[in-house]
Amino acid sequence: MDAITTDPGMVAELRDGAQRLVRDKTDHRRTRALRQTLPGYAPEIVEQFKALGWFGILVPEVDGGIGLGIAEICAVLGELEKGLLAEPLLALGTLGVRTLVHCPAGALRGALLGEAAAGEILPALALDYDEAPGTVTAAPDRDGGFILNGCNRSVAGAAGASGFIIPASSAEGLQLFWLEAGVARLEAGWLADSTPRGSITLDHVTIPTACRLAGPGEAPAALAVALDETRLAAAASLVGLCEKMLDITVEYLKMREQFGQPIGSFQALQHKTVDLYIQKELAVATLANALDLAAADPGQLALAALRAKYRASETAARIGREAIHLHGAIGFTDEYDLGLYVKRAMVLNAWLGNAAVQRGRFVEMGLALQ
Amino acid sequence: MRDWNAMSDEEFRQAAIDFINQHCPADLRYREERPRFEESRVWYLAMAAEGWLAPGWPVAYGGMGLKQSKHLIYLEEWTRNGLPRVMEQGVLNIGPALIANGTEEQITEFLPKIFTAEHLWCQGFSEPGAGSDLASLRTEARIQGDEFVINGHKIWTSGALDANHIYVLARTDKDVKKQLGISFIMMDMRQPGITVKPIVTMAGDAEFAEVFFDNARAPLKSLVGGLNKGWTVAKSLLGFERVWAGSPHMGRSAMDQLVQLAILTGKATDPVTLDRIAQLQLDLADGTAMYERLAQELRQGHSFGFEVSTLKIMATETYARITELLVELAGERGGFAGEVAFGDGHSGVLRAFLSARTPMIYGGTVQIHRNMLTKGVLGLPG
Repeated sequence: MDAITTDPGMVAELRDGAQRLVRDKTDHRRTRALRQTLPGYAPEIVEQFKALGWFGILVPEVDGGIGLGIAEICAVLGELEKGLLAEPLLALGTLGVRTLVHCPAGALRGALLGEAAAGEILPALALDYDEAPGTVTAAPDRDGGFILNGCNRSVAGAAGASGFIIPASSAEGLQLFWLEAGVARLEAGWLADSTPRGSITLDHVTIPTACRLAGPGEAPAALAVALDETRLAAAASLVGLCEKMLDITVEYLKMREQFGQPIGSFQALQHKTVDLYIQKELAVATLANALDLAAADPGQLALAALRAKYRASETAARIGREAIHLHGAIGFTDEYDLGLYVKRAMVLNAWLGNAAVQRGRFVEMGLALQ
Repeated sequence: MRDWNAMSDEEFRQAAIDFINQHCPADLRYREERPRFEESRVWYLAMAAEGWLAPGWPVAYGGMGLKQSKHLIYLEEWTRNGLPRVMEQGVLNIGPALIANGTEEQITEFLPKIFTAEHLWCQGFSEPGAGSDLASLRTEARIQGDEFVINGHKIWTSGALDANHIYVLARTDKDVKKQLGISFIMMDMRQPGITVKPIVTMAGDAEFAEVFFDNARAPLKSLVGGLNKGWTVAKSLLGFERVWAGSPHMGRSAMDQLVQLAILTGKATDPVTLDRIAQLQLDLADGTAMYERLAQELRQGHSFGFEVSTLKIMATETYARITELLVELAGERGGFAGEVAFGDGHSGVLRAFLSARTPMIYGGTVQIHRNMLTKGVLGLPG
């Protein structure tokens, strides 16, 4: 199973489906009502994803899913962001699911993926700040199981998750464990867009060996690949936000009149806006190129992911802040929808490494001097 | 003939390098100024003989039928090997314009003479009063018997000192909207009615010139694309020029020079320098992705759209920023002329910096392209 393969017909069909859902289900009164609540997204939307089979997009067919690739989930996510509906499919349906997929075959992995494909369980990967595995340690207990201690403070999708994939360090190295929701202590902090960021604390939690998803031999690679794939997905989400923020801005420039004419007729604003358009086009092209590269050669996945995430983060940050400014005061109000998108973009810019982090990775790979 | 497109990129690059090393004399390379045609003739004819002069043209017309991605490799090697610009207007502009808009007779007569260097072309578009506002041009062509009689004044004409032919945009109808009264006319410059006066550039060469028309003449059959249809022909031709200006090959070569200089000056381990180079590398890589996406669409037969303006702005401004960092890394020697010694090597910093200024101006300034995107893509009011 190659997760990066692309089927253009399928991509178009999924994009259409996502556009329909955005058209029918976007409701920013609801978006606002969900702020500082748990799980932070509308259960109704998750039911829609289930009905459409979208939690199975990234689950291999042998494990009960549809077995499509990253390009397909990217098409869906990019559209869903335009209605601010994507989060459960990104945090849980992509990062959580792909981490499970990359764990070695086993009874637990098989069972979890089968349920995840149908959306019956929603798995979250428990990371700490800046993608670090966190402080959780796993020590052997007397019955052959493990005792877990520590905390992970940046768990995307935590409040709605059915269970957590916990990276834990042990004497042998990094391992991955499955922990049902409700066992660890879960606290919520608030992200820039007032959706929750989970923090879980494990205090002497005992786990049977059967709950180990990946040992030291497999865990680091499983995590790395899932994170890179999810960077591509997050880049697609950000590109969708870029398109939306630019659309809102261009519409406003045509409509708002000052000095007896639409402000979009002023060249100072026109050239600023064209520059945002150029950067958006660049982000679209970079994402497409990254998906092609990753599909052609899995060895290029890390570079493809960093390039896509770099450009998308950089561009979304710029379009977000300049869109506020191009609007003037109305752009800074809570009542106007633009702010909802800008804040969502701030969350995703920072998640899995902002632009500066990706650039640093590029330098570390020795590519600056090539 | 070899199937160039079937080669791997590496094989093709090597073939290009071999060709260059075999045929381009060393004293033509890495020149500060553009060599006059008499000097570069030997290299021009060598390229013409084997298809390398017009690689993008169809084989039937003397080209290599090279696809865009391979063409880009060739252009990279051009800049990397310090090759001189040679009278490129024939290949870059008039040839494609004739293939797209010319009569069979024009194609048969004019195309072969580009390859033999019998016809050396320059472009008569800009005028002292018509730069960014090109359509307001005032050079006038009147029909007299079976000839055009042309009067007026062109400026910024690249290669005019060496050219013997010029294609001009001239006004043939003053009573209609300015774009609808312009014709595209090919002219032999070897006549008393045409005078060329060189203009010395900041780089110290006579890269371009003024061209004066005083009752100059051209037969009616040298009209391209029909009477008063010149604006349409010019726009399609600017399309070719913009794809050229939008290609990342100049930025790529400048980046090679930048990396080289970072190593020579011992700054290649400085984290701040590395971060700034990385930023430009990523801009270049992503700009290349955008370019190749468009090139692929062009290969599939789509016509030029506003994407071309997007590419032109991105490519030329990235190129310029690379050369700006180059000057900065050079430190005090960033103020030196010529090939300057750094450690075990050398670098032509000033040349690189100056070369990167003009692509943001010619073929429509980057601000004119922003205006085009404003109206054509964003649909903002004028």
